[in-house]
Amino acid sequence: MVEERKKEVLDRIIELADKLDKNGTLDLLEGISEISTDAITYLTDPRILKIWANIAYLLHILEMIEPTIVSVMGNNLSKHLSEELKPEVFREPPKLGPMGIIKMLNDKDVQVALGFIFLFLKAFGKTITTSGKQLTEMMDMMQKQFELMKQQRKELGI
Amino acid sequence: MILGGGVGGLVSANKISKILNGKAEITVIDKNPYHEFMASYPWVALGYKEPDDIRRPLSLLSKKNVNFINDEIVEIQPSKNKVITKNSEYEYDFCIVSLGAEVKEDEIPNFSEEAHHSWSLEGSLRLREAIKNFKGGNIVIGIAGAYYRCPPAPYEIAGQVDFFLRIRGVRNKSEITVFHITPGPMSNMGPAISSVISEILSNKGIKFVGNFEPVRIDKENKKVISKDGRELNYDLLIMTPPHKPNSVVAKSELSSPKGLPIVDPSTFRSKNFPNVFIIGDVVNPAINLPPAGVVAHFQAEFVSTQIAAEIKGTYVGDSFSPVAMCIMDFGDDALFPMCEFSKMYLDLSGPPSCGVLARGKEVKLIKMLFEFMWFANYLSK
Repeated sequence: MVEERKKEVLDRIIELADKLDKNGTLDLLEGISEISTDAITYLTDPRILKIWANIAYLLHILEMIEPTIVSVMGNNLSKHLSEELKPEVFREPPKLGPMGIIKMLNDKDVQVALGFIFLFLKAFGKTITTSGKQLTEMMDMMQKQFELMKQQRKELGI
Repeated sequence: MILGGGVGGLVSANKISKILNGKAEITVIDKNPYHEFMASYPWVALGYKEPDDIRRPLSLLSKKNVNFINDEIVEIQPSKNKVITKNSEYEYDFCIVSLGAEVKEDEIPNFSEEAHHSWSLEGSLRLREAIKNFKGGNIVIGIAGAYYRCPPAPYEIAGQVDFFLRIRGVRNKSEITVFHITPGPMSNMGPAISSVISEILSNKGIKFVGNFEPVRIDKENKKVISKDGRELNYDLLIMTPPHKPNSVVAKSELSSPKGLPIVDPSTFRSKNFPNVFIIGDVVNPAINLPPAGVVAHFQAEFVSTQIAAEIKGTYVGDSFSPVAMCIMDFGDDALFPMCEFSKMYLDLSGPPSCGVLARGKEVKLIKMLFEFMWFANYLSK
């Protein structure tokens, strides 16, 4: 019984191999196996790695954002935008002169938005300062390493 | 003739055999009868893998029409195109030297009695025993010097040990501290990688001590002492062993009086002996590339192409990508960082450009797949 089953399985494998051979899949698989190690070399080209790293970082930022906040904000944004930006607004857009701007600054909702924008600006400013400091530190460290490396290369004559 | 059966030697043997397809006699010489997948040593130390899972006999290269000689190289005579081994001597037309770095435990007094490490298979098994018997206390993990194989490994080991101790229920009775010569974790590779590793260590409650250059291990008081006099108390010390570039290469005509090989960094060809190529950990400290398997891998592909081109006369192959990447397994988290060294290694015009390709425990799967692919492609049973 077991032997019969084995024979059946082997027959099916042979049949499948024959089909794969006839439709060219075997050649394709052979080719893929041939280039699999070369593929690593091409996929690790510096340009591709940089693109990949940048995409990964953007995905990481998306990962950090809480979906609940995004959905609540998104729902309310669409609701209030449709309330404020009605079609007639586009037909006759409101014009704000200097006095109008000052008047709008008294609006409670505009004040909340401005508060939020200033918070963002503060965070953005901190980001620029911290990044600058980190990059300067790195460059200083590299500079020291470069001096040692240059000396070493000089000694080696390369 | 390929000296060394590590990453560089194995990739070179496969690549030349594939391109030249019987038109060259290829021989690999190594004192170790096995090729060991060194990136998995920490997995052996933590019991996730057994030695036979991460090594294969180099004699399997015969399936690729490559001869393997299990012997110890004692001298390289490039002016005579000759290699002397313990038991014989061999001549070559072309030679690839990929003998790697040597572990020199005796460079730091008390190292072999006090410190554990996973930079060899034996060391990994010894570390496994030490971790198994650890009941709580201070674990100190660090480096003996700036030059060691696989720069991210100490952080990986710290992460894996933390995970293991939590599973064992003794993490709350333990302190884990990592020390390094750099100011921050891998800060020499820039803020992109350093900040992520710092975050992972901090999430795991692992302390980092930077700018710590160890000079002494105080065996009696169980302390590691730094150059500036700081001390770290340990109950279990895990430390990269001191490394040196291979001594046979260092004392050969291939090297400068200081023992560093002299190559053209754009081709890895010996400056004085153009039929000799030097790749991997043995040469990378001399040309500002990190001592990592991935760099040796790409160098091997590149030099094999050059040899094949010279023999065939017409073959145009791949260029060399000065990049390094690896999977850092922190136990319950993982990271896939990469660095590109174009500006750094050829003309010292700028720092490495680094980033993180992926993060999350699923990244570990890539390491598992890579190990599988490695043996399937280069040393299949």
